[in-house]
Amino acid sequence: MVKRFLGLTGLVLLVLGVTWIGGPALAADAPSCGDCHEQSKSFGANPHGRAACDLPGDAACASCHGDGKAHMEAGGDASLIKGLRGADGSETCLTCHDVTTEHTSYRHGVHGVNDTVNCLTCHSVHTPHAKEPKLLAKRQTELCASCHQGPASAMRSKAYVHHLDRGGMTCASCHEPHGRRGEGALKLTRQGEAPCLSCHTEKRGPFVYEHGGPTTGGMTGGCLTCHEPHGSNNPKMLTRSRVDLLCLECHSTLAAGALGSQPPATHNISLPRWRNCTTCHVAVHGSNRSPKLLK
Amino acid sequence: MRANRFLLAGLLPALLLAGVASAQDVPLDVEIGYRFTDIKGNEEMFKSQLDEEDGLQLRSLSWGLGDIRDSNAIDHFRLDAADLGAGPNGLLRVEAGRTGYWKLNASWRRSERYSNLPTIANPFLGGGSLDSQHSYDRTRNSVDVDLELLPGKKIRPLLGFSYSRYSGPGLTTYHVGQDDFQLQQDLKERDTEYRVGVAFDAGPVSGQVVQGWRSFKSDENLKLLAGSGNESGTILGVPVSLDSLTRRSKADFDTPVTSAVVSGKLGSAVRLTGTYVRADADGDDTSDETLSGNLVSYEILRYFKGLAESSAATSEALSWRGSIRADVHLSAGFDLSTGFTRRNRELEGYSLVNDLWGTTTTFSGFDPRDVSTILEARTRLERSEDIFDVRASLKLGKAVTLRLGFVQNQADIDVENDAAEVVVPGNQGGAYDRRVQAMEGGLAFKLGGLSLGADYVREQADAAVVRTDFRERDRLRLRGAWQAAKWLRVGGNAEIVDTSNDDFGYGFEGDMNTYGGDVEIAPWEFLTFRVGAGRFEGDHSIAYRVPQTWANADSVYRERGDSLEGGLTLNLKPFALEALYRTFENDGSFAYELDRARLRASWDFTELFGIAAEWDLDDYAETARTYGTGADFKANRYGIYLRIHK
Repeated sequence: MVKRFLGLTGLVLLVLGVTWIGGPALAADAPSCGDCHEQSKSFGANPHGRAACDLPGDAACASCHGDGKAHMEAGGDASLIKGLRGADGSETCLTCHDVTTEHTSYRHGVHGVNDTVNCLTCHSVHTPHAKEPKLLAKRQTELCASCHQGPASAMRSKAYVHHLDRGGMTCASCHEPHGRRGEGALKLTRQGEAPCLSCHTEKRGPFVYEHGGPTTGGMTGGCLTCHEPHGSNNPKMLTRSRVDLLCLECHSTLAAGALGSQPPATHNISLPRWRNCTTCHVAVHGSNRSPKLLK
Repeated sequence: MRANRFLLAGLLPALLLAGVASAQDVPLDVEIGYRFTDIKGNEEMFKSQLDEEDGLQLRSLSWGLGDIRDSNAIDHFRLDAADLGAGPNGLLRVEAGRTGYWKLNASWRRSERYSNLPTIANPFLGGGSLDSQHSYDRTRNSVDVDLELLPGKKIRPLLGFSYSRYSGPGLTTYHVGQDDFQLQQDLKERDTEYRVGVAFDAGPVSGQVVQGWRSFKSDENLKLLAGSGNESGTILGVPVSLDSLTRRSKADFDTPVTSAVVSGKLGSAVRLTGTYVRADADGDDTSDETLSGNLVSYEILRYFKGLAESSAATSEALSWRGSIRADVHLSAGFDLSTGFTRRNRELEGYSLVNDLWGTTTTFSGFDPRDVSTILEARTRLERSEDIFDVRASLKLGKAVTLRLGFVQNQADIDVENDAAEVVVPGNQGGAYDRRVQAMEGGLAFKLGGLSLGADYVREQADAAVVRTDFRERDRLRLRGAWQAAKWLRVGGNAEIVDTSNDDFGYGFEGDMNTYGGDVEIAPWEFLTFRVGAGRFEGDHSIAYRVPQTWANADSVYRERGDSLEGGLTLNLKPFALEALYRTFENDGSFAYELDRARLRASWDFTELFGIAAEWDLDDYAETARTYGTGADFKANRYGIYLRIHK
């Protein structure tokens, strides 16, 4: 506890040190664009402004908006300067930000460039939200909810949820907004597991007796076989209100060829004692010593 | 713990203010204050759902030095914090760096996890009891630090560190001697990872290689809480009880993780990306347990009065994934992406459990002696997946974008029988194959203020591996939004999911439909009204065998949830007001009502200082009284915060 506190205090003192080293924030050298565009004066504090700080004069502005000479000579004719809007505007962003990995692609991801959704739908280069990272135009959950009303409404309405906007929990805690299609554009762990394991690390295993398998897709459905992360009516975000039925849906002998259908459950679930399987099978996420997941 | 948080929430902004005083014109936005709670009804249920506490709280903090020109070491620094102090969740995030030299991203998250629900692992539920047998009150602290050196350069060293600690007390149960006993649990788990790597950018080819070393350590101590178990009667004529129990378990896992990605351009139209990730987990788990009491064992077919057990287990899991992908820009507005991924996971487990059953007798009361048993088990599992996908997007004119795709996932799963099946009858092993093919289609339309979107995915599988796997699944998503005027926006969406497996012995049908819509009216720039409504419909049914009768029955789960909400935002500087009311009613298998309200008002009475007040209400009522009448709660939370901003 004390270590944590000292660590944090040290961090803050470091911040203060930085403040003194850094001194007051200074306005960027105003390019001639700044004669009319007030926002260019504070552009030095913008990540793009820092990246372009070595460029002379109006070159920082011109790197996205093109040569503004004709625009200025025409007294600010908007048709003579490149505005960044829609999918075409995103092409300008992609000249630098065309990031590609197995799971992410700014161009081909779920929010890949089109006129309905593009970079500037969510990001605002010049007027980002003051409390959001990554130059987001609004609060992140607000942005996501403007299209994904279903999961957003479930997370705000239902009783058992990951609480959005509390302690930094956002949609992007689990989802990768630039992720490729498939697998829910999940933000996988560094070893490619479901994002659930980023926080619930103890469920990772490996266990001698595994129950499902925690990696993406799991044995088949992974965590989502039993849990509903976008909010559930049921305790523990379970997909069913009765624990015994949740278990019996797999552990029944009706389809003998299915994995998990053997051994059959034999308890009398009409009696309260046997109705909650996890009373005894406590190690339901996996065990190293009990084949029956009893400990 | 509370004192620490008090200091944390109090000292941080104080120091920051001192910093601000030393550096004028530094943007700062901080809210610090106190939250009061007023909980009526079942406080345990409130804590299990929300767990918001009284106390000092750093509600939010954003502090940025975005343009430090006279330092050679750093040119930007930003600190963000949210909800630090009174729990349950808090975040501190730091971004700093100097362009072209270094870039640091660091975060600390704190999450308090509390659960004491009447519905989980509570065999006394039928009697209306609300005492849970499973509960915990734990805290997770997580730190993530990533440092990139020479960002934007051709070679960029990468360093990273992650740490997660999860600890605290809990209650659990243990089934032994034909009864279930409640145990006190003390858990401490630590997950640590160090990373080092390099990223490179060599013209058309870029990529990065990162090597990580992860370590997971767990330490769990258990002791008996109550000697009487769930069984109120006798087992084979014996009143079963436990006099003492202690168990200590330790686990230690090491996992080196290697990841590499290389991406290269072939001309201006084609980008090839290859990735490889390998994680090789290897760990030991040991446990020692002793107990005494009057107990019955069906495993050794004897009464017994004591048990000494020691177990040692090792498990190894090798996971790797490789992929190759081509992104092709065929022409303006016409893009194609195709890839192949192979995922593989091999798990090998070994467990040796030595039991010494003390003072045993046969069920007839003869042959008193100690009995020793050994359970040695080896398990093996291999899952391999080959995934092929091809997706194309095509812009048709200015307004329409069309997407088409095909994905095939071929999964092969081999589960080897283990010696443990001596005590677990039935064949759990075997080889399972499943191929899922998905056809995707999507349409996006944007014209003026009107945007429409539709996505459809049809998935077909040739087999089910577990009984809840689908054979067919159709998903349709529709979205629409109309910005009719600057002051009026109308939006709506629908998602319809139809899942089924009609094979003999499954009878699986699952429908989940979600509908929602909202209207936003902003008659003036400073005032916005919003109303919304949503409906959640779920109907799931699957055949199962009733264990005690072996009769066939259907497990049916139903959800009928309706949500209604309305709110307004008023921003008349220096005064701001947010109000929201939301009501949710579920008439499905687990009927309940949940009303939520939120009110926030702030007034910036000087350029530097202001005040904010918040009120949150959660009113939860289980209308069907499925789990008794005592689960309801009404929680009012009030917060008063000092605002400092510049």
